[in-house]
Order: sequence, then C-alpha cells, then structure tokens
Amino acid sequence: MDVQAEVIEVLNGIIGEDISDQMDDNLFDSGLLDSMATVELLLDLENKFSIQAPVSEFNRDEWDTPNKIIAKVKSLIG
Amino acid sequence: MTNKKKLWQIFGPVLAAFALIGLLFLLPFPLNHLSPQAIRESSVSFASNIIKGEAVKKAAFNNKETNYVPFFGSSELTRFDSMHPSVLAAKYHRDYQPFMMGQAGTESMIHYMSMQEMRPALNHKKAVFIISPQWFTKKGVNVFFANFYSPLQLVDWLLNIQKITPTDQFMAKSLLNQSVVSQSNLYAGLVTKIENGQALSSADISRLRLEHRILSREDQLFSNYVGSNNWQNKVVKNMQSLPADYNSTDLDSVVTKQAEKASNSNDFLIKNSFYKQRIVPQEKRLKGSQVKFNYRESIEYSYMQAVLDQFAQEHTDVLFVIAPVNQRWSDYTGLSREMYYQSVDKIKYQLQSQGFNNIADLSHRGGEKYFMQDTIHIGWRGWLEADQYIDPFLSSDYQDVNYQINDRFLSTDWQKFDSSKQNVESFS
Amino acid sequence: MLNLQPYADPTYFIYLLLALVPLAIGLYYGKRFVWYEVIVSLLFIFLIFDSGRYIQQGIALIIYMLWETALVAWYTSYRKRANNSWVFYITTFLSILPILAVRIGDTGLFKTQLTLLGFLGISYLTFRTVGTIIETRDGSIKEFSLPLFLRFVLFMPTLSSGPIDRYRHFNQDATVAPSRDKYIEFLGKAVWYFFLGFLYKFILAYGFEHLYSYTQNMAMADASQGWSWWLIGVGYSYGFYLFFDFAGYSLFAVATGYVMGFDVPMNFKQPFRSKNLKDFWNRWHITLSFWFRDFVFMRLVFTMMKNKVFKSRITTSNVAYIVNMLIMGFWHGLTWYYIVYGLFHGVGLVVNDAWLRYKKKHKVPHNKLTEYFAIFLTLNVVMFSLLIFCGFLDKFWFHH
Repeated sequence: MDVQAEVIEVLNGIIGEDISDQMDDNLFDSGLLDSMATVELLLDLENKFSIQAPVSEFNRDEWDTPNKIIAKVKSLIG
Repeated sequence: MTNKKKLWQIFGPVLAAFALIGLLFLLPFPLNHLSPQAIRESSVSFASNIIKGEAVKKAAFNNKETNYVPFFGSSELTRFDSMHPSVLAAKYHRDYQPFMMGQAGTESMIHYMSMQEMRPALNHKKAVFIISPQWFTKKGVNVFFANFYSPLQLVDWLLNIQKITPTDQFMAKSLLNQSVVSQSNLYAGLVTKIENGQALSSADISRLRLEHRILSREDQLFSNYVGSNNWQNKVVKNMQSLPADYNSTDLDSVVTKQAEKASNSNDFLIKNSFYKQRIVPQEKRLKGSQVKFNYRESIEYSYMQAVLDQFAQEHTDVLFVIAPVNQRWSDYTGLSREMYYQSVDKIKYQLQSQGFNNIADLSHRGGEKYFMQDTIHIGWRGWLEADQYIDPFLSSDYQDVNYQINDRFLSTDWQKFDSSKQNVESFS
Repeated sequence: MLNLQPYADPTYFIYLLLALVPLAIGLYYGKRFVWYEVIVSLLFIFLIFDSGRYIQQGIALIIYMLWETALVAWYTSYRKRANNSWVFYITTFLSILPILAVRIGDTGLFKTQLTLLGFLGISYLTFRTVGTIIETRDGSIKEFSLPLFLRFVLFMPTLSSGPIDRYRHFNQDATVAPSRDKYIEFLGKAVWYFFLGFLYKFILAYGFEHLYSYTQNMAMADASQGWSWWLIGVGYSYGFYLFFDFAGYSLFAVATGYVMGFDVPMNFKQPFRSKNLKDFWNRWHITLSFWFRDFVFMRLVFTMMKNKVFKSRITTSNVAYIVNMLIMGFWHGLTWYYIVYGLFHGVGLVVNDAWLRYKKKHKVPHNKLTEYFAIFLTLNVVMFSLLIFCGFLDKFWFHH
C-alpha cells in the first residue's frame, strides 16, 4: 500500500468518515480535526511509519488538509 | 496601485483625524450649551464633573436670569426635604437660588481646588459654606480627593498664582501627597517648583496655557449632558407640601408633622429609610464605636485656612454654617459632646480672629427634635433654622469685607493645637 | 523623572511612534536596523521601570532574565549531548519557579520577600521561556542565540501583557525586513488596529469600567442572603470591560509589532460570537489558550494515549480538559475564584464535547435560529464564568 492510501486510511479511522473526496479541504476549519484527533493522528502515524513527529513540530498551517498531511509524512519518511 | 498611493490611503485619514482634533481644540466657539433648565438641574445634581470642571460653573454663575449662589458643603447638601435651601428658595421665589457644590466626601481641599475654576463667581460676591466637624479627622478625609480632582483645577491653580504665598506652598505640599498629582510627569514637576517657592518660567506658563486650552475644551464637550432628575424628583416634589406664603412658625409645624411621620421607626429620630438601610444591619456594632473620635487635632484646619485665604483674595462675603450631630445618636455611639464643642471653638476662633464673622453656629442644637435628618446630617427643622440665617444674608446686598489672613493657621502648631488643654485665644 | 507605562495615555503613543519612525523608514526601504530597534526597546523598557515603586520591579526583571537566560542556554547545550526526561522536568520547573514564588507570595505567605520577585509582565515572559525550553526538548530548536533569545523574550510591544509569540515564529521576522508590499500591508493594519484599540480601550472599556464599579456598589448595598440581582450586571459589565480593555491593549501591541516589522499574532477574534465554549477558546485570549493547547493539553493527551493510561479516548480528553483549564486557573493566581473559574471552564469543555458527540450521532436540528441560541447561551455561560473570575463574589460573600 502506498503512503497516500495509508494516510487516508488513518485519517478515515480517526475522523469516522471518508475524506478521500476532500483532499484539499481544511480539516480544522470544518471541525473534522481538533487537538484530540491531532494527537491520535500523530500517534497513529508514528506507529505506522515509525516516524517521529513531536507535538511542537506540528504547525497547524502545514497539516491542515489531507494532501498537506501526506506531503508532510512523505518528507518525514524520506 | 502605486505604493505612494497606498501610503496616502493609510496615513491620509490619520492626518485628517489630527486636523479635526486640532480644529476642535482651537476653534474659538464654545462646545457646550446649557439651557436655563439644564443649569437649574445642575444646581441640585451634585455631579462630580461640576466640581472638576469650569464649564458648568461658568454657565451657572455667568447666567443673567437666575442669581445662583454657591453652597459649599458635603453630604448634608444631598439631604432633601421640604426645608432644603433649594426648595425654599424656589418655592418662595427668592432672588437667589442655591447652587450645590459638594456631596459625600468633599471637604476643604477639594473645594479649594474647585474654587480655582470659579474665581469671578467669588469675586465681590456672596457664598455659603457649610462646615462639618466630621471633616476634621487627624489626617483629614481627603481620601476622596482623586474622585473630585481634575488636571484642569490644577492648571487653573497654577495659572492663578501671581506671587507665591505660604498658602500656595502649603497646598503644593498637600497636592504632592496625592498620587494623582505626584504620578503625573508634567504636573508633579511644576507643583514641586511652587512648593520650593520657585516661580514658574514663561515656558511653563505657555505649556500650561496649551494644557488649559485642551482640558477646558474636553470639559466643555463632556458637560453638555446633565444626568439627573433631582429638580423634578426632589425639589418640585417637596415644594408641593408647602403653604403658599412664607411664615417660619407655620413652616415649623408643617415640617414637624412631616418629620414625625418620616422618623417614627426608631428612638434616634433618624429618617426611616436611612435607619433601615444603613443602621439596622450594624446597629449593635456601632454602639460605643465613636468614643475615641477626636476632631480637635487635624490637618483639615489648614485646608480650611487655604479656603479662607481664597475667600479673602476674592473679597467674598461668606456665611459659614457649622453643622451639629444628632445627639440621640451620638450618645449611643459614644461621640464626646465636649470634644465636639471644643473642635467647634477652634473652628470659630480661626474664623473670627481673621474677620469671618458671619457664622450660623448650629453645633449645639443637635438634641432638638427633628433638627437632624439622620446621624450627622441636618434636615427638617435644622434646614428651617439654617434658613433663618441664609435668607436674610442672601436677600441683602453684598457688603465689602475686610479679612486679615494669618498664615500661622497653616502651621502644624495650629493643626495640633489641643483646644481641650489650652484656650484657643492663646494661639497667635 | 519621565515614566511611561505602556499604552497608558495619548502621550505614550506620541513618544513611541516618533521613536519608531527611523525603524519604519528603514523597513520600508528593505533594511532592518536591529541595533536601533534594540536601543529603542531598551529605552522604553527602562522608562517603565525607572521611578518610584517601579524601580524594584526593574531590578526583579533583571534578576529574572539572568536566571532564565542561564537556564535556557544551559539546557540547549545539554540537549545536544543528552535527552533525559528528568533533566527536562527539573529545568521546566526551575523556569517557572520565579512566577510560582510570586503567586505564593500573593496569597500572603512570605508576602514581603516573595512578591519582590514580581514585575509587570512576569507571566508572559514565563510563557515565552517555558515554550522555548519545551521546543528545545522536542528538538525543534537546536541552537541558542543570546541576542535572539533576549529580543524574543523582552520584545517591547508585548512585554507587559502579550500576545505570546513563539520563538521560531518570532525569529522568522527578527533578522530580515519584510517585503515592501508586506510592510505596507502591516502599516495599513497597524493604523486600523491603533484606532480600533483607542475605541476599545479608551472609550468602551472606560465606560464599562464605570458601569462595573456602579453595579458593584449597587450589589453591595443590596446584598441580602448572599444574592442580589445586581450581580448579573456586575458579571456583564466586567466581562465587557475586560474584553475591551484587554483586546484594546492587544491591538496596540500587535499594531506596534507591525510597525516594527513583526507579524505578532492576534489575541482576540470576536469572542462574543462564539457558538460554543470550544469556539470561545479559539477566539478569546487566543495566544494564551493556544499556548495551553499546544504545550499542556496536547502533550498531556499524547503522553496519556501513548502510555494507555485510560482505555477510553473520551476519558482521556475529559481529564486533559480539566487539568488544562485548572492549570490555567492556577496560573492566574492562587485564589479560590481563579481556580473555580478554571474548573468551570474545564467542566464546560467536557460538557461541550459530550454535546457535540451527541449532536453528531443524533439528528439534532440545525438552522440559523439554533445557531443564534447557541451564541446566546455561550455568551451567558462565559459571562457567568467572568463573574466568578472578577473576584467580586469573594468581596460580596466573604468580606462584606
């Protein structure tokens, strides 16, 4: 499975609905993500990709849409 | 859009705002207009902006229709009933109308500052000054100073100083003890100069003139609104119960009946509403609470001296009224009658030895029935008795006065002079 | 001696803006005169603390800065070598030690000694320092630069009461000049914010402050059995007073920051239009609530989830809400009403979350009317919490 699909799966699991049709929507503005869900996301990503994403690296502007999150994860992996 | 144009769009409105402010302060027409009704309302509104500012005072005392006379005092001025001076003057169409200057917390130092803004109204004119011995606590009661102080008073005071007198130096020192003055960068320096007997430079004076311009415009702008209905609610309402013609014997029986009904809830003959709200919750605690009160030694004697000096400078013809306390109440709280009378002796000596001989001394009459409206405030028959002095005084013509000011009354020697141990007349 | 308290009166703005003109001209032409900025900042900080009772505070500020700078400098160099959790905890504790001492002093314990450590703005300086230490621990900050650290913590426009910036965000602006377009945009906003601030702080806050003192007197006079209808007025007038005073102040700080070419974060975003409590904390004292969100709430949740302290996700977030808001309450001061205020908002957020979950599951009608009702309800909950916060109830019930 590629990174994109796995990240979407993680996001779907946390948010509880399919977000694959809103890849460039701001998840914080729409209320789908909040602080709580963010931490879950970071923990899941940490487990899945063995990447270290400390909370203070988490800048909301850089993590606010599914596409941005995917790009972020890719950069942290590689 | 070019950058230059953008900058204009940003700063243009700022420049316009400054230009408008400049116009507001510099244009030569006044910014306030008080109708005769508004002035009448102000005369019984007790608003602190009257004491703080110039605008209302000017409007009232320059007014040609009604002859307003300043009544300086404190909380007793706000005790309305059918015999209140404003009510009597209005009902019986006297050729004067009191203008109330004061409320709870105002004493000599505040009045002195306020007088700086109304010197023409005092100059060769009449005034009434009601003295409460309660002002004469050791350090004075000027904790309320900041509530009634305004920079405009201070600027007027500084501009009024021609040659620095001991009174000016005393006041400078007292003002610097007030944080509202000492914390102001500009004024603290100028007042310190006065304290040190140093004349202000012409640069200081021009700076003060500019300040005066700004502050008095501000004062004008904010004195258009009189937030009070006292004339209708207190004065007119109380007038209705009075007989058409003035006769002090008739009035005495009218007011005795009113007072009897209004104070029937307690043995102190305190007005029922006051008794219920202010006394009942703490009646037990107040018993014997004033045994140690002492009005004989106080810095207030010197603040009062500053006021006297001001009256002397302006040749004001003043009637002083010395207020009593409710004896039924003071016996309960343990306030010493002897101490009270000794402080009154000291006050009267200070007045009379300098030629202030127009005194209505009511201080010994606090035991008379219905003379007091509550604990320390005259009302009812007390107001009627005061009227026996006020009406003849204000209905007669102004007489030039000749006061001999003695600066020794500014000294700590006098403040600490104990009138229980020494005869006041031994002080010189 | 000339003494200038920040944004206190019209003359302050005249002095401040005149002093900033050379800096602004430099920035407009793409040059940042760092040395000039430092001198002007130091001068204005000096003028806060140069006379009377403020001198003591100035000395406390200097001691505080020596202490915190040494701590951060040492920790950064330690962090390059090792990363022991306990060293991090102890360093964090030592950095909040001064404000802790002052807060304890405020309660009356060793009052005279401990409160000597306090000065105007200590809590805001503490947020900046602690934030820096935590980000260093995370490895987000790698180098310690003395001049940058001092400029960040002592940033003059925000010294006394925020907004609270972050070290890395601040440093993006600190050494370069913004582009001309960006700077013109800054100036435009600055002018607008200054004037909006004048309206807020000098007109509206002034009016509400008078109303607040009036309602307090009325409530005091009318107290019967621990209740007076005037308390409602006290709560509302205080709430509006606090908002207009603090938001006005924040606007001045942000505007001054803009003139100096810094993108200072905003502190308020129309908080009285919040639809629920969570929304409120995204709009009210934003830099403080986000600081708590990032450095307390999220970290706590992260730790609790990683160590599986609670099985349920909901319990985890509820505990974190209450702890987070309680700490915020304690930060304001160690009195019952600040702590109750914190607890109230903690519980409020828990209830709010439960409602949002319920709403998601069930079909709850949602339209303009329910939205207005939500805003109205939130406003009243907030005003009630501010009635607790203002401390009048303490006077009303216990020191009558």
